[in-house]
Amino acid sequence: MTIAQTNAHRLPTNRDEHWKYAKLRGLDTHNFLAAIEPTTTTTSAVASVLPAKIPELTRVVLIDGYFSQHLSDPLPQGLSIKVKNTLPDNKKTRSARVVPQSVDYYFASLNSQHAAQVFEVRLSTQTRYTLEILCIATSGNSYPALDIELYEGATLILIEEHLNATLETFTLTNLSVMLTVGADAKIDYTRVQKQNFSAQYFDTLEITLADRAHCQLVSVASGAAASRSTVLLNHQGTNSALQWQAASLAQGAQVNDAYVRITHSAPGARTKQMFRGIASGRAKIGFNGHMQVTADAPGSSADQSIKCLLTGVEAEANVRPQLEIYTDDVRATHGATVGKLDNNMLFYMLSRGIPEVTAQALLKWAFIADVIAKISLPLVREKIQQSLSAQFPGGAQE
Amino acid sequence: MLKINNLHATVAGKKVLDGLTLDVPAGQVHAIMGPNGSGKSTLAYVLAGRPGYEVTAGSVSFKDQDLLTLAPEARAQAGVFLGFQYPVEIPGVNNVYLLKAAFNAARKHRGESEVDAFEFLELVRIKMRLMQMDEAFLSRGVNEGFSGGEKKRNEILQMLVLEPALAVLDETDSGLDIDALKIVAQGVNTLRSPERSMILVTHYQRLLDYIKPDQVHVLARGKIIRSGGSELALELEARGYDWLTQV
Amino acid sequence: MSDNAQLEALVSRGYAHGFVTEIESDSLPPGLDEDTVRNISRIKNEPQFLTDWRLRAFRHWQTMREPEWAHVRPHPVDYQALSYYSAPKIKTDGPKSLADVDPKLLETYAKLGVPLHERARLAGVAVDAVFDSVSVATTFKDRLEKAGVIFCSFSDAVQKHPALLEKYLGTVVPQADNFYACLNSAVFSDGSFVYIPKGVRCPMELSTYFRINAANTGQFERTLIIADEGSHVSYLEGCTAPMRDENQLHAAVVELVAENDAQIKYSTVQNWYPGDENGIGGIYNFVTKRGECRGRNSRISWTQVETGSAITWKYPSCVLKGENSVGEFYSVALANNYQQADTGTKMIHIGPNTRSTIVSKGISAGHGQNTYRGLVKILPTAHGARNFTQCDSLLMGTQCGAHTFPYVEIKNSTATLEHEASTSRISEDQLFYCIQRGISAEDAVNMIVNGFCKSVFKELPMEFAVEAQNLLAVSLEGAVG
Repeated sequence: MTIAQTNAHRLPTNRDEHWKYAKLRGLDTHNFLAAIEPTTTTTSAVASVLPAKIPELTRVVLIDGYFSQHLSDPLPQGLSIKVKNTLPDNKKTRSARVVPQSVDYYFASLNSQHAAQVFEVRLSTQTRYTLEILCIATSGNSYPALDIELYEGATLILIEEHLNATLETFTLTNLSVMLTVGADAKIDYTRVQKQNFSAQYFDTLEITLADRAHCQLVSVASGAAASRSTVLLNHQGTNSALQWQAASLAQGAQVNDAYVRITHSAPGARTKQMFRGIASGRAKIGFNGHMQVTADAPGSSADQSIKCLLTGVEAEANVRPQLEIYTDDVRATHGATVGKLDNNMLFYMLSRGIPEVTAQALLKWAFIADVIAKISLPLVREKIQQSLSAQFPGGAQE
Repeated sequence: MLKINNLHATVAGKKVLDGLTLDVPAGQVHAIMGPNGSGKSTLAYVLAGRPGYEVTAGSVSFKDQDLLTLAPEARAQAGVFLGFQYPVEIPGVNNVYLLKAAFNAARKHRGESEVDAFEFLELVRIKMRLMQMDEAFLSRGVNEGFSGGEKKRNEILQMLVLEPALAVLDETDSGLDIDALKIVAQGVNTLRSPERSMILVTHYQRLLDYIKPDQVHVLARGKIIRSGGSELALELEARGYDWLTQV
Repeated sequence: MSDNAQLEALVSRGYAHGFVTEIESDSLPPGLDEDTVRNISRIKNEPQFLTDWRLRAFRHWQTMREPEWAHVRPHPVDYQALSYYSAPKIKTDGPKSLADVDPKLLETYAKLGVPLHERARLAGVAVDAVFDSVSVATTFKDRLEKAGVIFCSFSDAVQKHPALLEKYLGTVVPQADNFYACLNSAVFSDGSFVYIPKGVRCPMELSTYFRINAANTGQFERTLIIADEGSHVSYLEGCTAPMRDENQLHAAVVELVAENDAQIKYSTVQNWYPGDENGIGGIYNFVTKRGECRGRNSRISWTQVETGSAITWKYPSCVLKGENSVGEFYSVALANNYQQADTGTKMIHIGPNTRSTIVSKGISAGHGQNTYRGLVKILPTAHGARNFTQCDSLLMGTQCGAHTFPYVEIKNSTATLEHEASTSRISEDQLFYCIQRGISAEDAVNMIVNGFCKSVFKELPMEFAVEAQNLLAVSLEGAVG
């Protein structure tokens, strides 16, 4: 299918406010075909590149958006996971839902048309699960689609990782996640995007938080030639809380862009947002954090901290910390900094005899340490630290 | 150990050191005193190689090699330690990690094998007890949230671990209460040895009650204007600097 | 509470500058086409280059579309219903001296407190007063001439200094920059012109007072200030308009040029009629202000206190080309009742070691919507560039809004940028503390708001700072209850 057939929407361009800094070149001629179902050869190729298993996590593997029973763990009892081989037909389905007429939903809408499967996770009341979802792109387009719903008081620890099967093959991933966190439910969500440097990666994450729901999200993006994340979160219930942390690491000619819109539409909503970006080489990092507090959300608090480090001569950072506030009973702050490594810190380390490269790596690592520290499972944290250490030779601390 | 000859240096185009000559033999402790703005901290930074401190004339030899041609990290690896007047906070970089990285960089420079984390921790613990520091400090960010006194103790701890040949302590005594001062002094005194030299940059003679210097120098307007024994410090304490600088 | 009654009374006192002056004026009939543009140029006896310049702008304007903004909602402006020229009727081509000026006009300025008449002058302020479309009188000519400073109406400059004008006009704000600037380029009627020669420190503060009087007129003035090498100038601008139910358009363009080592300080107190408490009437204040630091070590500083207008849309900006040049923006913007203030700045860093500072204080009350919109752009050539931005918003009441939309684009890795913003309401603790000490609620709010704005007020020249504080207090009355 081509663009023209995705009727309700058009491809965003850099003229669209929220897409100003994303790399969209080439998309207008890209053929957004549905993904091809992986063969057994593909599956065994993927098997050989899967990361080591972390014992406490139930592993689910999606290859080009298709669930792989062969590579996934048996699903635990009580966890309702549905794999739909035909497009789902109940009311909550993506193809039937009314996607807002906004370019921000363009990729989500493409996903609802092309995803052959929707991976559903339903956590019933008061249950607790720990899940690892590995999305492996092998070639061409892939449309992973996740529907996750936590009923009252449920807890989910979710690790979602995006990888490629090879180091070179071009893939275009278009991930769409719909997450509903019920009353008093809690999600601890870690997302790692580590695709190869040929890949293009887009995701749309729509989150709804009910009363007293708690969402902790850590996102670490270091892969893909061009990546763009769209997060649209709504504090629908009273006293819901969000802690959002993201680290974006771009090198070479990578372009990493993110748009995060957080809407407070009920009293007592709390948001804490932290973004750390490091651009080296001639990489570009974009971050647009849009915080909305409606008149229905008195007693809200919203804090945003954005920091970007430029270590490459031609590196770029484009950040937009936005506050849009319609009630006076609110406490909102944001701070943004862009700059280079601190000379005083650097000299302090040099004066202790630490080689310059190491000192720089240490400081870069420290720059994202606050984000990494929020990953709650120690084994996952260590694994991510290890996988990033290649980018900071001598900088990763145990 | 350290021979400074006719050293001239500028900071942001402004002349700060103006023909400073100083000889610190091995095993000796020299105190450098002087009024504000006399160039004391500049001297410390020039020795450590801080960017922005430009040497315009003169020479510095350390263990018979030209110190000024070395990069800051190479000076440190060769055994020059600067105790900062205002140690910088580096959030996110672990205190013990920095220390270990520094320790191993120096060992590597000497052609020795690196020590592992366990071995290193043992070594640091001993030094920490000497400095009466809580082990919790190790896992915190470098100087992050430390009080003034804690930062200074941390500087001395680093010095004890790195065991430099030349330690330049820039106003390590400022901001310390009397108990902390004693602990710091004790740390410094433990390190005194015939193979090691020290330069204490200080405002007050108070520190010198606990660390007895072999020589005291008065620095004013970028050069040494008077040198003497430890009694000179007492005289300065009593009379101030004016009687020397008004010449 | 009697406090409320008191407040009501104060609110209804309302806009103090809302009187209309009955004065005969020469106006062009409403409507806009190439002939209108030619007529304006002809009335003003302009040289051909300027007529052509206007026409070029007009032709381009016809291809442009009125901008739409997410957070500003103006009523549509009917550009054909406006009159593009309105001048107080006078027997000769223009007032040759104060004696030629209609006494009623002078009275108007007296009511506004403009020190137009030389006898009544405030110490050291030279005033160019723009009444509707033409510049009426410029004071202090002699003293300024002695210093070599040119300070005159734009129309005078067209006649007397065409070369300077041709050299600089439209070089900072190009005709096609935006819809309103383009319209202004086609139909601007008058404004102020300032040239400070090399090495001259302007001996007094220069000031322009704008007033829209006639109904159904748009005011399209144009200001051009050139500070040649090593010169200094401080320029003040004040604005008022009568109360009318229709929305009136004010689309001005201000261009500043600072050469090597030159400094320009531009201060504005904008108190156009904001409309009534139901949002009827008021000025649409769509203004393009931009300064270019062309020379090394040059400095341009914008300070503004925006309390008036139904809608304000302005972003006084600095293009920092010269090495070590400095751009500053200090702003207090207030949106009460149904006012919409959308203001901010752009700092474009091009030269090495350029520095910029942005301090923005937004106050929202009633149904007011206050938006800070800004851009800090550091280009690859701007090594060592630095920016510091602080945007604070104060909310009073549950119906108002405060928005902060900064753009930060950094394309040089040696640059440093810091941006801080906060949004909060007046703390009840602070209020109670003051009230407990016997201070009335209004006074307490004024004190707190003034404290909130202090870092901007201190940038204003003394006389203006006092005026600004009073203005803020009047504009805020009724906001607390």
